[in-house]
Amino acid sequence: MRRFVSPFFGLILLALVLVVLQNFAGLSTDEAKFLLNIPYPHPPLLRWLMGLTFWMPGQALFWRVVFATALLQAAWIVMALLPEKKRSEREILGWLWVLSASVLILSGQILMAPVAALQALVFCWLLLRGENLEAHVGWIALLWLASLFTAYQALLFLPIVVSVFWRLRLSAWQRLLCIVGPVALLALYSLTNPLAIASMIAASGQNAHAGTLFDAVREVTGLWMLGGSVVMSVLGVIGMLAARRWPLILSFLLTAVFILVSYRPYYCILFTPLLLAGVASAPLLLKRSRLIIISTILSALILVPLGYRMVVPPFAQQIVDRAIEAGVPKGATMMIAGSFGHEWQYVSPYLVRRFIPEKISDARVLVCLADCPEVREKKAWKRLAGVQVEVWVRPIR
Amino acid sequence: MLSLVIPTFNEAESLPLLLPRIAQVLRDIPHEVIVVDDDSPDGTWRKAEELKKTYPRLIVIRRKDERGLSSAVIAGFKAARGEVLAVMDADGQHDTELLRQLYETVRARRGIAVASRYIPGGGTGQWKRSRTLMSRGVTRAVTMFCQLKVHDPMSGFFAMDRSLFERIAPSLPRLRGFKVLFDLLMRVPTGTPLAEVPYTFTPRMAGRSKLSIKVQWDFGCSLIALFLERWSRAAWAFFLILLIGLTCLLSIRAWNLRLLVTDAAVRARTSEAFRSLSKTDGWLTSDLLLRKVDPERLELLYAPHDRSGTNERCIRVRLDYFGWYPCDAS
Repeated sequence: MRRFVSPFFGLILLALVLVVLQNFAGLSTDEAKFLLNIPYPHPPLLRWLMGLTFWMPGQALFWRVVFATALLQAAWIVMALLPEKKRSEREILGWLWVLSASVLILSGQILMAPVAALQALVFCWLLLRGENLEAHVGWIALLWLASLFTAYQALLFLPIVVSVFWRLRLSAWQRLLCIVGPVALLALYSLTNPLAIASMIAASGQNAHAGTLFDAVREVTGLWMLGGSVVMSVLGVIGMLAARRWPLILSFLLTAVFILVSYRPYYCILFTPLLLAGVASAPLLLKRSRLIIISTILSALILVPLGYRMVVPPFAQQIVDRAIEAGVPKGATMMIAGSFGHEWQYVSPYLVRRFIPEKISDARVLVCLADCPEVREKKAWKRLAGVQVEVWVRPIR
Repeated sequence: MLSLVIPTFNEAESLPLLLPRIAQVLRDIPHEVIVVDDDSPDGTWRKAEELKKTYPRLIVIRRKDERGLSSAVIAGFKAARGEVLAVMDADGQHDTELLRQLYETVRARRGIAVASRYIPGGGTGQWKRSRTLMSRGVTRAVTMFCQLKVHDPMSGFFAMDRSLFERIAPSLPRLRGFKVLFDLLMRVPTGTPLAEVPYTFTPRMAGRSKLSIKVQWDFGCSLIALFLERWSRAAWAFFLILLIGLTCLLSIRAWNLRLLVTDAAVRARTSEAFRSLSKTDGWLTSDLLLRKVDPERLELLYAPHDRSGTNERCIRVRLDYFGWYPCDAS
C-alpha cells in the first residue's frame, strides 16, 4: 500500500512546491492570454474551459495546481507503458518522466504545450499497448478531436495517431473519418479565425529571422536536452531507432522541424512523451537502472535552474492597485503607451486600450511604457508616485 | 462436473482448513478443485501440492509472472474441465454449504448463480456498520450505474455455465483487480439467466485480508475501463454528432469570411482596417472578432477581454475609409 500511496502524495506535494515557485515567478503574458480566453493562437477547447472560471478568485492558482498535478501524476500513465515489465523497471520509467527537466520546469505553468504533451503521452500509451482497442474507438476519436482543438501542436503527433487508428480493425471510411475528420474540422476552424492564422504566421517567421541555421539547430538541441534531462534524450532516440518505431521517429522529426522554425523555450516538453515512448520501446535500455536515475537527477539539477523562466515583475498589478487607491473607479478606461502584454487585461478592472493622444479624454489611467509627452501638459492629470513606470491618473472627485 | 476455482495468495494456513469442508459438501458431486496461486511467499502452492495426496481431485496452478485475483480466476476457468465453473475465496469467508445450491442452480438454469450478501437472508456478518454501509452504497451505485440485474455484482462467490464463459472469454481484456464477477456480468449476453442465493459473510479462518488501497484503485481502474467500453458506442455517436454539428456551424462562419481566402484585395483591406482601428481607437486586436466580410465592409464583434465589465457590441467597418458604425444603426 505504501508503495502506491507514498508516490501519489509525494507527487502532489512536488506539484504544490512547483506551483508555489511558478506563482512566485508571476503571471506571464501567454498565461494571461489563455486565462482570458483570447481567441488566438490556439483552438478554443481548453482556453474556453479556462475562460469559464474567469470569475473565480485565484483562477490562475487553481489552473496552476490542475496543470502541475496532471503533469506529474501522468507518471502513472508512463508506468503503464510497460505493463508486462517488473515494477522496478516501470518505476524507472516513471522517474524519468518526473525528473525530466521539461516536466519540472513547466509544472505549474498555464500553457498549452504541457497539455499537448500529456495528450501525446496518452497516444504513445495507446501505440505501445498490445491489446485490441476496437471497443474504445469512439473515445480515441474524441481524444484526437479534443487534442487538436486544445493546441495546434497536436498535429505533430499525427504519425502516432495514424498508427494507432491503423492498427484498429476499422472500415476504410471509419479510419478516414477518425483521422482526417478532426484535422479537416481544425482546418475549417482556422479559416473562421484569421487572427489564429496571422499569429501562427508571425510566430513561424520569428525564428526564420532569428539567426543562422546553426543557431536554430543549437536551440532545438537545447530543448531536446531539456525534454529528457539528457539521459532520456539520448536513450529515447536510441530506443525509437532500435525498435524501428517509425511513428515515434516521424513525430520526433516533425517536432524538431516545428521548433526549428518556431522556437519557444516551453516547446521542450513536446519531446518528452516521444523520448519516453522511445525508451519504453526498447526496455533493455533500462537495465542499468541506478546509473540512469543518478545521472538523470544530476542532469535535472543542472538543467532545471537554467531553464526556469525569469520572474515577471508584478508591474501591472502594482499599478492597477495604485490607480484604484487614487480613486479611479472600476470600469474606467486605461490607456497604455508602448508595447504591453495580456497580463494588463488580466489584472485590470479597467477597459484596456492602446494610447491614442486624440482619445486621451476617454481615459482615466495612462501607463507610459513608451514616452507620452501629451499628458504632461494636461492639468486634470496627476502622476502616480512610487511606481516603477510613468503612470498618470484622472480620478473622479 | 463442477470445477471449483480457488485463487490464493498467502493462504497456506487457510487451505488445509477449507479443503475438508469442500470435500464434505461435494462428496456426491463429481468435481475438481483448482487452486491458482500467485507464487505466494508463504508457500501456499507448496502446501497445496502436499494436500494433493489427501485430495486427489486437487489441481494446483502456480503463476510466477502474473498477479491478481481476477486473472487468476480466468486462468483457473481456462484450465477447468467441468461444465459448471465456480469460484470461492480460500479464507473461509464463503459458506461452502452453498456450493451445492449454486451448482444445482446453474445445472438447472444455465447462466450464472451468485451468492449474494444483499438480498433477504444474506448479510455481511461481523463487518463494522460503517464498512457495511460503504460496501452497500458502492454496490448499489455500481449496480445502478452499470444497469446490472443482480444485487451483489461484487461477490467473489458464484458459479457459471462453462459454455457461457467460453462465449464471453474472447471479449475479456487482461483483467485487473479482484471483482471478476462484475467483469463477467458486464459482458454476458442479454437474456442470460441470473439467479441469486443469499449468504452471510463469515470471519476469516486464518491469514490476513488483502483489501488494500491498491486493490480498490485496481477496482476503480477496471470500473473506468468497463465504463469506457460500455459507452464506446455512445462516444462514437457523440464524435460523429460533434464532427457534423461543428462542421455545419463552422461552415456558416467560414462562408461569411470566404472573401478573406478568395480575394487578396479584401484580405489586404481587412488587415489595414484592423490596424486602423488599433491606431485611431486604441482597440486591441485580440478584442475584435471578425464575423462577416463583404467587398464593402466588415462586421466585427468588439468584445473586450478584461474585468471592466464592458459590454460587447457589434460594429461595421467600411473598407473604403475604415470608418465604423454600430450594426443596429440605420
